[in-house]
Amino acid sequence: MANLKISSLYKSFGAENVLDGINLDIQSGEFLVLLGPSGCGKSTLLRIMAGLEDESAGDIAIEGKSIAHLPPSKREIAMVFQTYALYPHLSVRGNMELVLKQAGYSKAEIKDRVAESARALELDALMDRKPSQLSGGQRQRVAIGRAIVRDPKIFLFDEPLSNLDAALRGQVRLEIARLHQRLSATMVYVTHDQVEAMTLADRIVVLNDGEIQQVGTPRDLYERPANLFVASFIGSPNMNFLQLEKLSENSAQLKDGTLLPISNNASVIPANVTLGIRSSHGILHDQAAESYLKAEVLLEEYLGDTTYVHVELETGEQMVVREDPEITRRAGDQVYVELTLSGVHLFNADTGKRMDVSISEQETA
Amino acid sequence: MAISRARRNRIAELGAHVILLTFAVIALFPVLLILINSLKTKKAIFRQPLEFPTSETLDLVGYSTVLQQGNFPLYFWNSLFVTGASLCLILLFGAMAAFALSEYRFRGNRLMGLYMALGIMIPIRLGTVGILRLMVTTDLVNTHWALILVYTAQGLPLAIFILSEFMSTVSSDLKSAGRIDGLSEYSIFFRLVLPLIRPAMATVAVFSMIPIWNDLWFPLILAPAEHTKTLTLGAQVFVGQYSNNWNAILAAMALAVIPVLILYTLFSRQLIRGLTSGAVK
Repeated sequence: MANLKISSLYKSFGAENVLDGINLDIQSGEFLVLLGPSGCGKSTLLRIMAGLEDESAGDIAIEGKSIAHLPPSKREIAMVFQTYALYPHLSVRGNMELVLKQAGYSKAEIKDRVAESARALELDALMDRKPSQLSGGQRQRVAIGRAIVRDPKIFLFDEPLSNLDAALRGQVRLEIARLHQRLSATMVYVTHDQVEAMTLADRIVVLNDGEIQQVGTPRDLYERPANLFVASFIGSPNMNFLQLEKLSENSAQLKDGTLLPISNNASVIPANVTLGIRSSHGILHDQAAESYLKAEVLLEEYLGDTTYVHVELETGEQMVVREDPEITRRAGDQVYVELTLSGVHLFNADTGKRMDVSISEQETA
Repeated sequence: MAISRARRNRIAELGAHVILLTFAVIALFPVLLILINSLKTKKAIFRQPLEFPTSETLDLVGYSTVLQQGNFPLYFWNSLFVTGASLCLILLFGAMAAFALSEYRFRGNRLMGLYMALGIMIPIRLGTVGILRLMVTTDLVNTHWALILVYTAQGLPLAIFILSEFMSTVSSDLKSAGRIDGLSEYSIFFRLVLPLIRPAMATVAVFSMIPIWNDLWFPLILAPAEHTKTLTLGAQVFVGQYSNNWNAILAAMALAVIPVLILYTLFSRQLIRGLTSGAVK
């Protein structure tokens, strides 16, 4: 249990900046997820925390003490890798013992600790097997066991579920969540999978191009994305984006002329504004009405418990709307889309930044 | 349908075996010729070179000459020692250099790799005069070390080239895990990486061993003394200006094949894995 502070961390390979001034406070006992597309620098950030890469500038401190100059083995961290990285020539027991032997623990203590973690992860029956005789899920459990035995201050996970098949992924994800509950240890977890991020994290850090886009709880990120990148990255299917024709103080006009009664408190109204709305905040109607958008059905995706309808607006912009699976629609059908105003987000299209909005309907009514 | 497919498969298999067998016969024919003729009388060697030894033509005079005349057990030992020591050094330093080149990012890394690879293209014999002068100054002429050092230098470029390719296939997560668990760079190299590239090491061992074992040039120039003579050089005593002692030459050659054969059998399983590991996953 320890907190970790990263201050103005930079990393560049040659002329390319991989990390561009990262500041991050990780609380003691927190489960923090670093989320971003591939190449955003999240793995590099994790490897710098572990000491496997050197930072170009900046500092990392655990409980106020800088660890930037320490080699990986002296940082009191443990890491779980995507490819498990078990020592192929050692048995499961050997894999778990190695770090303790290197650290110079007594034989009795090594035995106790290994037995304890083996029990916790239900590895007892596998202790004498070689990694090659284990399934993917078992290997990752051993890798987690190897991390636990050393009783580290901080656990680092580098996409630990990416090499597992879909069924196992859910199971191991649950095990990691339970592990965090039981140990209440500080954990930093890198992934590009937003489902993992949303389900595991206390807080998520969204990274893109080496910069932090937003830090917040999964709910924060989903309900109040700080910018266009976060809005488009979080949530499945992706958020719909429509360009506004004109934004005034208490109404927003779409390209097809539809007026939406939403107000904003921006001191200067930007020239280009993008409206964002999730598929769950659109409703399809058969009849036209004021402030409904005329559209044509392109495609229907039936998923059993829900249906996603892809539509094209008169402006040529496309949207995905979630609908009750009872209703079926055909390509070419004429529909009218109602936007639920509480689900509307506005972004400055030039800077990508979120703008605060409120519904002016109730005020006028 | 199923039958015809099975039959077609069998025909294809047969065809492949015919081709492989033909190749094996072509490759093994000279070796076989040496073996059968080393067991015959001199007359029989020239009259019926392709015939197996019969009760009349069987003659072990070649072997008895080789084993009695001169210091053949010593030559044998010299060859074994020089080849073995050179192989150990080539594998050790080759693997270490390959690890450094593929694992660490440092200034001049690519240039260094290229410099090492140049050694594959430039034959070391071009530098014979320089090497001889060096060995004379360092007083190493007529010692095993003269040969071992030269052969190590000769074998390193190819070893580094092949091994660094394989080094980069070793999972970097594994090395990272070792570092986090507190293993030193040496432990990571010897305990994690080397066992994983064993097939590549066997490939390099076989490729490096054969030219060293067969070499005549450097033993002749750097270590021609009686106590450092290698097998190939020792066999030259039977090659005369006017007549050759064919019995003895063939017997010496037949004996020289044995250690190579033993080493090859030891390495062969690993070797095949090394050669096919790129192609078959």
